[in-house]
Amino acid sequence: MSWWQRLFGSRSSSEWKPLLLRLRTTRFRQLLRNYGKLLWLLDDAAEKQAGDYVLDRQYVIALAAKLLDLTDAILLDLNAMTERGHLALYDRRDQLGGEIDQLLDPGRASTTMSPDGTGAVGAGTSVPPSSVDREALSRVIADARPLYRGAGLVVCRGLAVGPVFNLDRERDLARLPAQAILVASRLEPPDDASPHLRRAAAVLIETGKSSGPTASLVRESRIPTIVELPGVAQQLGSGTQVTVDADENTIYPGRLQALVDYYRAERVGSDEEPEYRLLRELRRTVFPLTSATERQSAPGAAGCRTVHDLVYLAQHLAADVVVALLSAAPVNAGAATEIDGGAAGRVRLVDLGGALDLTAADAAAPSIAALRSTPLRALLAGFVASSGPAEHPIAAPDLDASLLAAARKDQACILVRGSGATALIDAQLIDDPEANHVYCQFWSSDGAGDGSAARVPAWSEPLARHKFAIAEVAGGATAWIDGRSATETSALLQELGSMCARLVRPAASGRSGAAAEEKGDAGERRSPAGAGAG
Amino acid sequence: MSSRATQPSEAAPVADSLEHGYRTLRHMLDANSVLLEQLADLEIDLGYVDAGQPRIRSRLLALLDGSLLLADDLNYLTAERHSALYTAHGRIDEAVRAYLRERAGLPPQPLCVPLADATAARRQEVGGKAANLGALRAALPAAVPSGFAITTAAYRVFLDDNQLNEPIRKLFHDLAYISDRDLFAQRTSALRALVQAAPIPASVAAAFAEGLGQFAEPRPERWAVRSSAVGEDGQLSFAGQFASVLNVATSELAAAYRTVLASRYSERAVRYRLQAGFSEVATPMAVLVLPMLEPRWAGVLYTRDPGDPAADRMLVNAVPGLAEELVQGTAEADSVLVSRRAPVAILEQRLATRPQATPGQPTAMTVDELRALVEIGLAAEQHFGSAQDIEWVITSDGAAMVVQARPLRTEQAAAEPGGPEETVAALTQGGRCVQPGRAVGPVYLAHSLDDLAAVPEGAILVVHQATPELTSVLPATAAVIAAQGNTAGHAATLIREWGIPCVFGMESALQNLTPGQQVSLDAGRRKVYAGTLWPELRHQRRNRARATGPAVAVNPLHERVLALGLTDPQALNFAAHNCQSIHDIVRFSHETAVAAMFALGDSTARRGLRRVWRLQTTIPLNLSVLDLGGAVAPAARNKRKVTPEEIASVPFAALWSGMQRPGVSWSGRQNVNFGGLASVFATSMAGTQSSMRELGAVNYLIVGPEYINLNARLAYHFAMVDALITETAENNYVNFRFRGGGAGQDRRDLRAQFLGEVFLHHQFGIDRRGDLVTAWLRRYSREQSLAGLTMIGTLLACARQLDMLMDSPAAVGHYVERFTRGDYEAFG
Amino acid sequence: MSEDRLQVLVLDDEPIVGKRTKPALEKYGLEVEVFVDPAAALRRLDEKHFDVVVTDVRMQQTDGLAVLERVCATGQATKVIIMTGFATMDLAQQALSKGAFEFLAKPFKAADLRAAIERAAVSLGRPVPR
Repeated sequence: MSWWQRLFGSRSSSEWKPLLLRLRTTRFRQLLRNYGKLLWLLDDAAEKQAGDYVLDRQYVIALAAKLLDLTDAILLDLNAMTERGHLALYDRRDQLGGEIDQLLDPGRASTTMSPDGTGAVGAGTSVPPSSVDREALSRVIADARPLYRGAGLVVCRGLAVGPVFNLDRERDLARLPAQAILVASRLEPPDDASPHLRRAAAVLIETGKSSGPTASLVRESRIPTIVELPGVAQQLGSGTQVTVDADENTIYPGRLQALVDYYRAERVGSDEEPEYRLLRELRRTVFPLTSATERQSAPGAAGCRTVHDLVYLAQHLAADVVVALLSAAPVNAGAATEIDGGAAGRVRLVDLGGALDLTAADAAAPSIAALRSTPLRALLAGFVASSGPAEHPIAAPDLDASLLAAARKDQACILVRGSGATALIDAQLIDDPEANHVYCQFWSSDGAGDGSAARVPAWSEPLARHKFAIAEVAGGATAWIDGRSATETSALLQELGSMCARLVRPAASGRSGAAAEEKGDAGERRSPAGAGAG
Repeated sequence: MSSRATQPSEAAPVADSLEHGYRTLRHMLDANSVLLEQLADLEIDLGYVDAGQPRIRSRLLALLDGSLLLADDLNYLTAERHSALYTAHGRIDEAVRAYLRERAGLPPQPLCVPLADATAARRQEVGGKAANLGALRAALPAAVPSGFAITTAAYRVFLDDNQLNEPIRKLFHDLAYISDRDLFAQRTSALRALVQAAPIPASVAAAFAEGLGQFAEPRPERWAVRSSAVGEDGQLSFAGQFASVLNVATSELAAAYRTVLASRYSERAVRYRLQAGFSEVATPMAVLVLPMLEPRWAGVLYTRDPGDPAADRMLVNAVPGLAEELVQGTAEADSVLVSRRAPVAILEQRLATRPQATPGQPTAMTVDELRALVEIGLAAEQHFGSAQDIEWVITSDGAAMVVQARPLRTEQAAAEPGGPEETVAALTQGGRCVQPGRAVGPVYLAHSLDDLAAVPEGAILVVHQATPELTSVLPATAAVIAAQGNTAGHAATLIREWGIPCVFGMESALQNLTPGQQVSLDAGRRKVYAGTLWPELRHQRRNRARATGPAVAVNPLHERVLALGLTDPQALNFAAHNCQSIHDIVRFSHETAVAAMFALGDSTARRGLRRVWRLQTTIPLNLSVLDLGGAVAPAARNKRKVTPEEIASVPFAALWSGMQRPGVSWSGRQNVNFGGLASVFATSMAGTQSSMRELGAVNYLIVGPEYINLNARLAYHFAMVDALITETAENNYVNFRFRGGGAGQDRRDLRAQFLGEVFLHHQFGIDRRGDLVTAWLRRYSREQSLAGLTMIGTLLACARQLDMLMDSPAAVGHYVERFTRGDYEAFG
Repeated sequence: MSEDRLQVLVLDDEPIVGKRTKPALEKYGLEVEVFVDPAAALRRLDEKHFDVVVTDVRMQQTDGLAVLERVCATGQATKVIIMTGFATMDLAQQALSKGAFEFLAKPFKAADLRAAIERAAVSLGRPVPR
């Protein structure tokens, strides 16, 4: 062997060992935690973009550095798991890093900055500051009874006054009068990106996101917008006069003239500050998930246009390794044990430390009662909850166990194989919220149609409602959540368990059941009579 | 991190692998830092919270996983040559899990323990005071009242339910930065307020009910609620640190409980624990509840006279009514010396002057009463096997009862030969000896608490009244003289604990002694002389062998996680299969990985992929340099040596410039000094007979454009510098670690002190454990971090002669001042 | 009366900070003066008494901690709130030990700053704005 082979020689032996599974799952978990941190940073950046925050250039620079560091860590872990199988990804990372460096270069021509100098901000306004009685203003604000204060999520700042146009009642966005305040419970396509929106003085929505087509549009046009306002479509009928102060995330009934005057006097232009622009540009390089639509073994570094693409791919490839190892676990003493998982069917479990407690009575036919792994127990409980005692699992015919797991007392990595779709779940569950996480990757087994692709929303929506961070590609989705209490995390795992149950027993839920799922109520209990949709 | 400059693509997969190897090494260095920080955090946490807490469990999980991956990284770099690490890790994993399982399976401890059941063995549950009293009760059931303890388990429930652990931890952490007295007072007061406002958990209230339930009707209506912390009334008295609340109505018991718990965070008590180095988790507080006794007399009994422990007598201090003011030092007591042997007789009596007693009120204790006390004292002594400090009450019915008992520290007065003092007249004399011994120093009169705060080091402190507030300044004083004070009060107990020569009741002291005057005190003879009679005492304050605190139970977590067994990489035991703890695994992986990469670097050199060079310089250094990537220009690739100027590493440049500051000289004294940093930069300069090359010495320097890792090691000590300096303050860190030395313990301590003070002066965080000095600057700006590195460079250069120069505490101060002034020649 | 209103000085060398915080505070009855130049801010501090000073901790020319020390040295009843680029324990501890009232990690919401100023007002014994 040459010197470098001796030093970096291939470590993979053909012999399957529990140690290998322990090493790979532990490293996978580390990779996932970094992936989760990155997702959180992206979400956080989206929230900061909304404009509610006081932030500075330093924040954007620090954000970029953190994102790239996390990417490095993820790539390193991937290569450690695959024996340097993806070194090419580093080159792609370097290229993206170069683009980001250029972006953040202070040498770039910076656009208009607000006046600096020794005086107070506010010079050069149309209404002389002294004519705005601040005392009166604060009294007006103190006396006013806002309809909403701090309840929603600010997507774009600013002040607007005008009559409400309630889309739920009026039904047709084209009829939105100019300078009216658009109120709706939600904006469905094509309304969500309609040019009609630009006429609005402000936009108030009951459910909505701080990113997406609507958000981009209103920010471009500088239209004050607040989303996630419970009951706003009920409360504000067409014609009602309101004052929307999106700077303060507050909505007042009627017209607050003092506030309007103040804004004319004090708001120096509504141009977006360069810091916010910089953040937006950074996010554009990093954030969108544009990657390949099919799950392939090597879509290649070239297919990654953004940083998110790159780490998504890395996480995907790492999952492959774990799936392969789990699938190859032989059943014998020292490797995997078969457990009767009740409604979940047979569970093949590799105990990596503290997951199983086999008393003599149990040893021959271990059951869930012997399980000490809290995350695994929570997941299995979800299976039981979603079916009923009478159900029997119909495992895919060519596989002998529907659940393959590697677990410790507080950690579990579980592969759920159904016909047509598969899920990989990794979780850590202990008493300390900061240490907990749940990860789930779901994909359809075959690229062909037959409705399997349609199942993706059935997974994403309920998980999104539970505040998972979701990344969707055609044919699959990845979800991540962390930082929840033990009770919450356990409940989330149970929820996942119910969803997995449908994977394993597609016949029980039936085709019509699948259609009902798409309505997004997949999380709730269904009656075991199953097909009873409608 | 910004992207590296694109390097000419080396198509060979070998190069890619190599690149990845260095990437992995870089990652391992980071992971190593993180794990060490996590270990340190865990150690701190174990001082505050019980090992069973969720926070501890999650830290352990992170450490177990992190160290496993580090071992994996090492094996990745070295083709599985260290798979024994996995086995070692598996054993540790098993042990930790077993320990946690065991803790989870422990039966819950009772929240209330009647005094009848309190024994010495249950000290961890019921605390020192209750354990002693309970033990005495077994021997003298008639002399100890019934009562109950609300246990340390209840205390933990109280803290957990009210989420007080975090604010407590934060307080003690912040105290390291707070020197301002007002801020200290504010913060402790805030914490007390939190405790006072916290509701009593239902289970604790039930514990009180249980305790009360053991009293038959008619139940006592008034109670004494006293602290009984673990560690209290043991080797260290904690005298007067915690509150007692007396005359508590049954309905007010909960409030009294909170008051006692809150007293843990009085300024005085916090200082006491800090000075003694006690962790919170080692001194949990139980609370003792006793029925109020109607006292005719109350006071303190010492079964030996502290002024003359060999004599056959006991000392009784007594006041009519309650003893509280006596022990606080605010009331004057009758002081009676009685003989230990039958017939019990009064040997000496000093009655305090009191306002006219009401008719019928006795003016002094009777001999019978004293005899009863002596009997109790003898019995207690016999039971505990040592002299005792007993708080007692004679009830209105005439019964003698004990309410507190603890060991009495006495020190035999050294048989001092006759000397000048016999012929020299005393400046002033009198009073009672609290702690025998001699001291010299300047007189310092303190009339108020503010005065007290300013007492200079080594002074002879003179006060009007001895109160427990003295505690905070005791370490600084050479001796204490009080015009008044009870020799059996808290202050006296504390002074004896510190072993400080002391006299109380020297009434003329305030008139006859002048501030600043140099005097000598012989506490045993109760005399003060003018001038310095015993100059040798000046620099050597008596070896204050202060008693140690409650032993921290040896925790399997310490052994299996925190303890470092593999200290020396050169030693024979430095092997994977000898890793007993997570700390061992981390250390082993780190050292071995670095060595492997250096070895690799040497062998790749031939292929034009050189990454390792010798540093070429006139400074007597013998360093190997490894380039992690991008720090050494391609032009240098073909050479064996590289000059400092060719190393394009920002942190290295800063360190190097520090080493070369004007005034710093590397030639000069060639003392063959085995100790000190000098040998760290040992040279194998050709021609010098005093070749200091040690066997197997490896001094290495790893550089990157923004990174530096310097390790210079020899057989007995090492210095390590690890720094990352970027544009983003948040990512920056400068870490420095130094340990060891061949000199004796005293010199090493002085050297460590010097280093500590220099670092503190430059805004570094600092940690000193024995002779291991760790200093750091984290998350500072680029400029400040570079300045810190430059300072370290200069420090390394100046420190060559430290062991020789630091010969006394005064020298330390002297050289610290010179270093910070920039006078580096002083170290040449 | 004007004297009743809380006087606040905001100092940060990045203009966006002053630009955002001034309206947010004025709307709630505070009187605010904004500076980007530390030297000018210090001169103003010599001229006028401010109840609350909000300053960035790391600026190009002058250290926010120096401003803090300056304010504390005057002995006036002024509370100083430090803004940090990110929460750093060491820096926050330094600030607290030097007498800062609180520190606020950027990015923060205007409402967070208002809340901190309210706490400062309470500790000064001043009426809480609004």
